[in-house]
Amino acid sequence: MLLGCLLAAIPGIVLAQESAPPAQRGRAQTASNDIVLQTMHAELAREQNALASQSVPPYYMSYNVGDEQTVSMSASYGALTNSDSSRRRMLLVDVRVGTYKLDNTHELRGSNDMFAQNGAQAIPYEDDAESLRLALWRATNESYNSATERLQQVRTNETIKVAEDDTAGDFSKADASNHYYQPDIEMSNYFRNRKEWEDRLQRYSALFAGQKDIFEAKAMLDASIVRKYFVSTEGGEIASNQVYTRIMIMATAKADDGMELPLYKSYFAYKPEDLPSDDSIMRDVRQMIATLQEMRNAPVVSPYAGPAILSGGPAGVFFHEIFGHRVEAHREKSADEGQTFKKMVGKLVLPTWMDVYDDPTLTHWDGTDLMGHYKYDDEGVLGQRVTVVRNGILENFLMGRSPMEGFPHSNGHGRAQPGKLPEARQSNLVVIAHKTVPVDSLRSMLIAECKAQGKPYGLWFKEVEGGFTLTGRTIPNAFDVLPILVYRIFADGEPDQLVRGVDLIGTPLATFERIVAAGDDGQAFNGMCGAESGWVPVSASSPSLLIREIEVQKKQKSQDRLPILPAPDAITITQQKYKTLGAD
Amino acid sequence: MAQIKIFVASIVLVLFAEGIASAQVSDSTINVVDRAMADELARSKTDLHMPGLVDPFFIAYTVADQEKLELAASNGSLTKSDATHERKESVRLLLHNYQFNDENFTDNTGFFNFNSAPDNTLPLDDDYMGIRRVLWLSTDNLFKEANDNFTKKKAALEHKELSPELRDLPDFSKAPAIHITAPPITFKYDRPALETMVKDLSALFTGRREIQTSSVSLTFYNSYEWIQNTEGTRVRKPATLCEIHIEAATQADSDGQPLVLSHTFVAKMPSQLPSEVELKSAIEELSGNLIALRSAPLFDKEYTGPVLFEDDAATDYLSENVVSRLFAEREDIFGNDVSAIFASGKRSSLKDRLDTRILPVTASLHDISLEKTKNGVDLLGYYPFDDEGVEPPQDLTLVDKGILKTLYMTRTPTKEVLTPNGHARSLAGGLPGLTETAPAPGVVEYNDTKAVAFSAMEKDLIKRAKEDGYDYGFVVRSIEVGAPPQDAGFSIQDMLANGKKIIPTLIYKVYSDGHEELVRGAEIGIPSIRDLREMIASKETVTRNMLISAGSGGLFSYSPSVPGTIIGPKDILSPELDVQKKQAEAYPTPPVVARP
Repeated sequence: MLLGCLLAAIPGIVLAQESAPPAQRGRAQTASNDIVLQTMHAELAREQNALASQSVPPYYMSYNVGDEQTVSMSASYGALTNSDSSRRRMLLVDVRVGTYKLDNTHELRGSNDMFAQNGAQAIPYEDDAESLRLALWRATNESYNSATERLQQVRTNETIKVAEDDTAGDFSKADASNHYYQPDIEMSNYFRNRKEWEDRLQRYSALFAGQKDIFEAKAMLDASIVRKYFVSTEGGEIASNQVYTRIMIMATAKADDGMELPLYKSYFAYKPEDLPSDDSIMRDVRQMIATLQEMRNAPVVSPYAGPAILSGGPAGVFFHEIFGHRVEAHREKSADEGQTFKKMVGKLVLPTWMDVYDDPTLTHWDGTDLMGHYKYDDEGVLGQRVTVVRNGILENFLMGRSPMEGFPHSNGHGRAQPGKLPEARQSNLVVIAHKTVPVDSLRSMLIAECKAQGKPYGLWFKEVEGGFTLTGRTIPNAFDVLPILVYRIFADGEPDQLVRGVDLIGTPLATFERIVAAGDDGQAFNGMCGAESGWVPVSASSPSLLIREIEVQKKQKSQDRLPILPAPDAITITQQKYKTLGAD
Repeated sequence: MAQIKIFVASIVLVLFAEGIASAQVSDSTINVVDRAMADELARSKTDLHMPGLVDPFFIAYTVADQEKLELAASNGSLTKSDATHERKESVRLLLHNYQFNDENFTDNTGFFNFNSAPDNTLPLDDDYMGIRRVLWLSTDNLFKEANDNFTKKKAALEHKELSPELRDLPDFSKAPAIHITAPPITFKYDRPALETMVKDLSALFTGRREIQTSSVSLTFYNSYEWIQNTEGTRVRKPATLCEIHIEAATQADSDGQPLVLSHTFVAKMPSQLPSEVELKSAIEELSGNLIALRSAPLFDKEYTGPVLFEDDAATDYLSENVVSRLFAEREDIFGNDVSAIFASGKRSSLKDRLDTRILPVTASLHDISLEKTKNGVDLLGYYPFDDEGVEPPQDLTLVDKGILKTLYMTRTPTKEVLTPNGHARSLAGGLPGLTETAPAPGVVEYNDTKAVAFSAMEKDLIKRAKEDGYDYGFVVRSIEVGAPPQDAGFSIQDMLANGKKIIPTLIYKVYSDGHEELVRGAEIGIPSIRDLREMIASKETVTRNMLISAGSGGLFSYSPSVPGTIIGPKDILSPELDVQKKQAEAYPTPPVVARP
């Protein structure tokens, strides 16, 4: 796939989805009085029954309905720029014809199969059985038609192409007859005091007003309730809630040479009342302003290859991007993908003192709440902890129900944004080191490494914005993590120096081999990860890591100069000048 | 009966007249925005220079405060209910001078450049400094971009030999400074009551088991706009639009052909929309027609002969084939060979027909966009100033005695017409302000001194058809306009065929004994100039508020439209058109599983 992943987020807090706030009267409380779930169940049964007599009957069908309630607001320089709420319900129908071995979802090799996935459909969001049922009926019909048509193409493609590398089949059998029910939640009951939040955002963004070098500043809030319904012909019946509130503060300064300097801060909480206090966010914003001023005067990094420390957050993102995406099974399966790890199973891919696992059952890690938690995945399979690497050796992959050679079963990682077809995705990625050193020692090890390599300084990556990874076969298999706070650590003991314009580059496998040591600390990075099956909440946690050699390049900088005129509210001198000119 | 009507009228009153008021910007808002724009514009005009860069000679700011309500329902249940409020700005900045500036140039190097402009969202509060800040950044960004473009344009011209008329053509026209303030409009509506209405209307389709999908949607835009430029123009005016859209789809019984019928009602104010009773009967009629289409026979025999367009089909025919083609647009200078991409799929203009006859000698066409009401109808196409701040004339004579006299113009001169005539209108499916403008109609009046009575026209149809050797003529009651509805199976071919065919959605064979037969799968060849000259209009006239296709559109902006009004014949007879079989396609099979 061309676009691997965009992880856009910043360290923060999220509480588990498990402990749902009390539902209110009028909303569904039990599976048996949940109109949506019961209607999905009834219509699926009816469709299955009727389609069974067709010449090409489905062997599997499922309905995923994602009911999204959102409140979003933003403020800039102390003024509210929007405050809206919306509600929509998206439907995805998965109809599979053929066999588990070869079905309509099979990759059509050599074709530009852009429209293989069924499109998401907006369906009525009121709990009205009749209109829901009509929408399900209509969408099932469309999916069934395209499934049968595509199966024909798949069979033809199989005949005319050479035998495939991966012969694992298209859909695995799974224990997916689970029943699980959480009561419905109403936004007005979850996100109260909207006015107060508007005021808070205005206060945060107001701190940037009058800062002449910060020319874009925003405070935003999203409150989101995604209620996910799943029913399948295998008997699965699940209704669960994915709830969070997120605050993001973004500000951009421009250095005198035109380089844009963005800085972000974000906070996640399961309940809005659990977000950090007003004071604490105000303090962070003031710190952001100070950092931005410092960054404006920081030297630009020059291209560099040498030792570096990644703090826990950046190390987590680094692993999410360059490692996590490559152990998502479907990427190792498609003929268009790089298949970096497919032939590496049982081989050493990391230092022997390292483990990597992905665990959706986790709700916390080292004191931080994790966003990637869920009980059942979007294919109705129980989310399971998967040890991907044990003692440095690659053992396993993250599996949805699309099997891969040697890995025939799902381990509960089939995930998707509402309306998208699930694929194997990360949840809570955790990097563990069995051999650690105190973080301070990591620093002296970095300096020692610099001296050994004859480098005047090493780099310390303290914060990153997110990153992206390209895993396709026809494009360079590389990653790019976007650092925003990087320091030079000098070998001769000079004080640490903030630098700007750093881009972390390189090819994945080479970088893993160069991990030298891990700190005894740990940090979790919560974020939203975007890929083929849409945006899903994830986390990545890691101790600080010392890497023997990391390659950085100078960030492509905006060619635009600083704004020619100063900000209208920045300096009074300009206004006087304007008045003088006006008087001429 | 009378009692029922009174009762119904009062319901409508409740729906549209009571409840919360929406998007009425206060006097203080009007003044704060105005002052912030004026001050930042003045500062930019005097101070925005940089050694080595070309100075701007013209800067224009537009700000729109937009409130939007969007409701949609299907089978009695809501699928959408969103209310949004935002304030956006747009800046236009031109370098050098009127004769030669950075516009009218397209270069493909910036085509995939996502290093996009700064956010153009303004504070919703009356934050004077906040508004200036956003305008400041946009102006700065545009100043640099314009300089970049200006350099590229000059470089491109060093390698191109332009025709003398294009070389001497100014890039931009001067326009007199305008000062006007029109008060904001207050929408009053009761959102829960509107939701109930949309749901109830959508539930009417539920009983029709032959219909597969259906929807009813309602959109209210209420916008207040400020336009200011360095020539001294200062306009403050409201722009509103209300739409109700009904749509239903099914498949033909025999071959599965997807069938879609839709209808859009537009008005300036909520109270001017049809009543719930009228909407109900429109839905009943649309459902009835759609169900009839399911079993209608396929069009079978090629036909060249008279075609009668009735009601909406007549105004749509006039608008699509005449009115929407009366524009002049500047041809861009191309920095690279991208013209082929941009030229394909465009609506063809009648500009090359200037000063020659395009309509019957007895026909005339006038644009009277300054008229607010006519024939007891509030005219949707009315506007006091166009989106470049230019006043349209009282009476723009487009066609006189059949001769094409002039074309709709913006402030960008063209080979055909040099001066603006107040018809630069914003495109965004009717959403006022802020997007690119195109030359487009407002209120259009068609007159034909030799119009005939409709009864005579019906007889004429049969007579002419017989002379051509057919025992039936064709009557068209609905044609597809603009983008095909969602369920119609939109394809690239359809897109490229835009403007090359008329797709009738309701077409009937009418026999001499008066009986009618609905057929499907027919399309009509675009009328030639000869056909337009022979067009016969009915004496019966209509005043129809509608969305009218505007400008050339293009590959990536499929059939943009503007709110407008056509005052013209209720029916049109075209003596000799080609009715052809729509190219056969493989259609999806009807649903395997019966409707629940």
